[in-house]
Amino acid sequence: MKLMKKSGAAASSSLAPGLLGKAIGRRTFLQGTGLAVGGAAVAGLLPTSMVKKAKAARRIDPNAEIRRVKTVCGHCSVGCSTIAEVQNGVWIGQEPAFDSPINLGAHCAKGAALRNHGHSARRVKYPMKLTNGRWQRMSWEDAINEIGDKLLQIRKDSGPDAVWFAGSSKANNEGAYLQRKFAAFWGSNNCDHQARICHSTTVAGVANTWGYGAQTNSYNDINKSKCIVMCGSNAAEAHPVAMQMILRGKEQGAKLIVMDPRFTRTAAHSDIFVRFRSGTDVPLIWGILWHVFDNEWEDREYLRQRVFGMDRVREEVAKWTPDEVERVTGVSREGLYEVAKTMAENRPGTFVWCMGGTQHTIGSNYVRAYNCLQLALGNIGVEGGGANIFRGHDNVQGATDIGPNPDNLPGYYPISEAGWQHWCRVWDVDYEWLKARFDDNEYDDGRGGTIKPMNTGGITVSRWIDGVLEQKENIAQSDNIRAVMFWGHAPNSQTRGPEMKRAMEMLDLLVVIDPYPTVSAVLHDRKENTYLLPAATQFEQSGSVTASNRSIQWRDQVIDPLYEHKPDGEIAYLLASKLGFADEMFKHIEVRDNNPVPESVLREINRGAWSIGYTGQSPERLKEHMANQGHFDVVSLKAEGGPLDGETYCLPWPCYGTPEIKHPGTHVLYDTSKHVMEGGGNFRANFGTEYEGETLLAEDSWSKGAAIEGGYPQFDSELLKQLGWWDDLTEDEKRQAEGRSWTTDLSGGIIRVAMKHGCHPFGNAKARAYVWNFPDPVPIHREPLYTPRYDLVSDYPTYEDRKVFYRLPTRWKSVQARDYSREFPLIHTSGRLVEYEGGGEETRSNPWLAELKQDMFVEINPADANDAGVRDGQMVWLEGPEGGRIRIKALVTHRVGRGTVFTPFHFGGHFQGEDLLSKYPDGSAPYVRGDSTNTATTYGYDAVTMMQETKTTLCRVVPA
Amino acid sequence: MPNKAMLALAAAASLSLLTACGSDVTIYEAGVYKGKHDETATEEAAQRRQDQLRDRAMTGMTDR
Amino acid sequence: MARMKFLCDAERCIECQACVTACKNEHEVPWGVNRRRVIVMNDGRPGEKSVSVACMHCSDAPCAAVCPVDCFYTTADGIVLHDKDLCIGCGYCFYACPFGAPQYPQQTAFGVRGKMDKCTFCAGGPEIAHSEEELTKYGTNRIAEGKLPLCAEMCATKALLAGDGDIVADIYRKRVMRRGGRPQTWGWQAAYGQDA
Ligand code: SF4
Ligand code: SF4
Ligand code: SF4
Repeated sequence: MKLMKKSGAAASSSLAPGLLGKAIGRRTFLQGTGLAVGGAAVAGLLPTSMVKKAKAARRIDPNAEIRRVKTVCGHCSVGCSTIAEVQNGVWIGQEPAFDSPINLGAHCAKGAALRNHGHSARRVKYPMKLTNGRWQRMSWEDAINEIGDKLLQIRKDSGPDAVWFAGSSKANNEGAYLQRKFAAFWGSNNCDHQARICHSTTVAGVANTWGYGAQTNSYNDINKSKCIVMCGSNAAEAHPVAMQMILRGKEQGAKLIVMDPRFTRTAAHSDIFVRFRSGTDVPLIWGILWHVFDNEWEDREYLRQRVFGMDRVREEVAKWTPDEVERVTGVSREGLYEVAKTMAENRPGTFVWCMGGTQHTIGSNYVRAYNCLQLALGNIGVEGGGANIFRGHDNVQGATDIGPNPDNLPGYYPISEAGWQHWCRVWDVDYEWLKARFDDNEYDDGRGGTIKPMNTGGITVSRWIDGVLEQKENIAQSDNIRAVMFWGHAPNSQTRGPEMKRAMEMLDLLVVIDPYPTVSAVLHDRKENTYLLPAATQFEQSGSVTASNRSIQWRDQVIDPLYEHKPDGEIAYLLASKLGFADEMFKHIEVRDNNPVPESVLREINRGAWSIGYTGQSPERLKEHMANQGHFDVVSLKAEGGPLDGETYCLPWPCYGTPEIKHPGTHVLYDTSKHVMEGGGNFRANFGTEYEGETLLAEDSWSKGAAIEGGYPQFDSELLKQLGWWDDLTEDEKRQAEGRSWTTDLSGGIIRVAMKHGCHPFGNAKARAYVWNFPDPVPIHREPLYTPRYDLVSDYPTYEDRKVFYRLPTRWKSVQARDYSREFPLIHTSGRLVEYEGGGEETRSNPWLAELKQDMFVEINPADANDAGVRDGQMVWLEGPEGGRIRIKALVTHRVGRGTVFTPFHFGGHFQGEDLLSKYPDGSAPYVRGDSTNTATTYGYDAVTMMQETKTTLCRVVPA
Repeated sequence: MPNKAMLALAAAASLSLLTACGSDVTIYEAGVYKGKHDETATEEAAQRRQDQLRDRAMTGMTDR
Repeated sequence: MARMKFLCDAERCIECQACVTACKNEHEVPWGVNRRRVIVMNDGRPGEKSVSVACMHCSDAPCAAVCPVDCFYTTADGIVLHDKDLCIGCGYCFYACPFGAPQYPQQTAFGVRGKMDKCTFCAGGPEIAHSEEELTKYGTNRIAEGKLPLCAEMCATKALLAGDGDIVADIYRKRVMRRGGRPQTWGWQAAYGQDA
């Protein structure tokens, strides 16, 4: 019904000349007076020092040497390389890195504006604290001492769990790993980072389906797709350089299908666009799968060999007849038939999703529905197919893999005793010592028992405010959260802004560690006990960074930290020293001038993260890849000839075993057509060998060259003995491997021997379409908590409330109990703009970007605008059902359908209509400020991961 | 008559004035560039960079 | 002799503005002056298309024809440049230009570029190449270094092509052949009196 096909004829021929001065659409609208008035206004804001600095940053000395440094863009997970030109320590030029097989020199607006990081004056500059409500400069030494003393006092009074901190997906792997290690040695699992609120549901969903929580293929591999389906992904703005590969795929004949509530710029390039109601992905996907099953388009042989439980999915799908699907999603029978047919006839096909598919109260159901569709079509584990999950921040994949997560340890080792024991052996610290760092009491585990905080997931970034605001007796830990450290995280990316302001004001200590002040510096009305510590950017430190496709690229340091900024590693070291655990924490990490050496940190990661193959990527290997980028094929990412012949670009994990055995990295996960030593694989045996009498192991399917022709469990010392392969181990390996599994054998011997026989160390099993350990083993539809279709709630209700979930009471049903749809008739959804990233502070502080988007806005359909009495360009109030309201500009457009409004989530620095400019430290406010989307968003969390709901809530729009 | 003579005289005078100026004044030529010379705009300069720019286009503009 | 041209492939352009910020970055073009901009047609509707536009470096440049002080010149490889010392900021070229390329900044803290400013194809202007004068008045001179305009070199999707017109047209034609459809060399008629 709402399906439309883009007409083949291009409109460009109708372009009248002379348009440069009068661009139409979003640009003009947003620039408005920007060209003249805005320009003057902002120029007035520029301190003269900035003008001078900007000029000084140019190639004016013809004789001084120019150093060329290769680094990686810090603004998204595509991982574009760039070449920085540095003269006399100043970043004077930026050149395209044509050799990189990922971007071929290309960038988006953010990447092409990176150099501004090298001379921005909007940064924090030096440590500061609030004294009677005013920012006051202080020394690093005093700052560390004061913060440390306060933390220790809070620890003494309330236990280690009274401190909560956000690490960062923008830190390098080494920094993110140290953040997790820091929390562990402090004695708490109360740490988290951006992945929670971007792809946690993806990670949980895909890991539980087939093994690893990551993108299965790569951006480059999309060149081989015959059909590209993008659902809840607006790559043209969020992952612009990925569009290079997508459009190349399309040019070679692939069909591009975009499904989104909004006609995005990505949709503008689609062959088929499906507009559906936000919050109804499960019915949408089941609607497609209904046609697949109805026409017998599923890949039966693949399902027999490699998938468990599809029959149970089939039963659920049968309920989603085209009529019911149309009733719930708004998409017609013909529309979805065409999608299903196109996908069936054009295999292999890839399925791309982003936050449109993850940020929901049932996000983990969406993710698994996507998986089931791809499995049914036999599209996983093949080139050109896959679940191409585009991650968000530049190192969100790496920080998820080995960084500050509250519910697991680096390498996804569990927070059970076994997981801690493993890492204690890697760290060479006494487990009992570490255990004594934690609160040893037991608390409600939410399942009728009790559990120690060391073994239970900490409070998530989506909910830290409830850790402050909730009654103490309702929280399953010793006390409320009393201190918060934002170590590279924007607060305006989290929902429920007004409550966050209150939570911030209740804290005994707030520490912000960031290159820019961020909204954390200004949102609240705190007067004391608030610190800003200047952290260096990615360009002022070196280290490794994991792109969305799992390639681990090495960033060289471009310039020395500006002003008094310090790298994450150094800050971790200084704090750990003050808090008294630096000697243990850095026992085997080389520290030079208070700086943990990144290479040394990476080697420690290499020694411990066997489970996901973060072990073969030694710093030497990664650097060699960066130096030979030009040798890698753009489509296969494989080096052809040269010193790295046969290896995949930057050794995408898993790169099993020690660096010495030279695993080539894995381009396409679960691909049985290749030998495991060529990056081949199969689905992981992570959930036992059978379920209710049915085998979970693969049947008649194995990766090329495997000595075991069929399914097999994960490898451990017992299995090696049974197979008669034990003596393939060296004596030293035997000693270390005895009684261990492949993930905990620190010699890597079990892995080496398994692969020598062509076998995958993690076993060979079926993917699970039926995930019995999730609240909904088969993904089912549940209406959003704030739904515009209250009439559907009785058929598709949400979950029951839970008393303890990630230590907190969590509500579903009691929120959905009330119908808000009359007072708040519009669906409010949010998303990205190409110019900005995340909370946006960094990018809104870059004049080259800020000039392009000067106002926070809401996209509203002309019909809704007329109903609300709102005109294009007018200021409006957007009001959410929980009382938050934002004053922003209306952009009247057909981009959104009737009944849905869209806001970008990058703005901050205003609160409910008030500009917070005066609260920033002098001269460090971003050029562009605006009310934050999340001031108006609402409660709602995923029942598996605590993902927040930011894609479907309600609002009303009224003239301001 | 005297008027005519006067006019002729004036005409002759102005003519001689113009001729006199002829040698040290450039007549305005519409449409001809009046600015500074640009060394990198010349035929030779363009010739010199031609191959380099072609290679650059083959590296940077193609899909590789 | 090579003849420098721009070509923007509307099928590939994704409105990402990399070309715009690359230009700002390379030449430190002040806030309010846009040597390059992205123009969107049918914004938010089916048929939405965008092209990135700057000075096209016309074969028979209309701006030069109307300039009262004759400050325009064309390099041997076809790049249209101007001398800011002569420019009187009258604005005639803006009206003559089919692409609206010339820009007139307000006098601000960045007043050095008070005269007309436009895309130089990254070829600087009539000052010694790479001198401080050239840098502050016109920006860098990549062409003299054997490099092409940074906007095109950094384009997210290789939609924006720059270089010798023959090479550019060739790359584009191959692309159109692969994907089918009519070639749409937007702006080429107006700028170069021909299509690709
Ligand atoms: S933000 Fe992403 S797409 Fe843009 S340049 Fe950086 S890595 Fe590339
Ligand atoms: S595009 Fe405009 S400014 Fe450029 S040469 Fe043509 S007329 Fe002149
Ligand atoms: S960089 Fe390329 S894709 Fe992006 S707006 Fe410019 S021309 Fe279009």
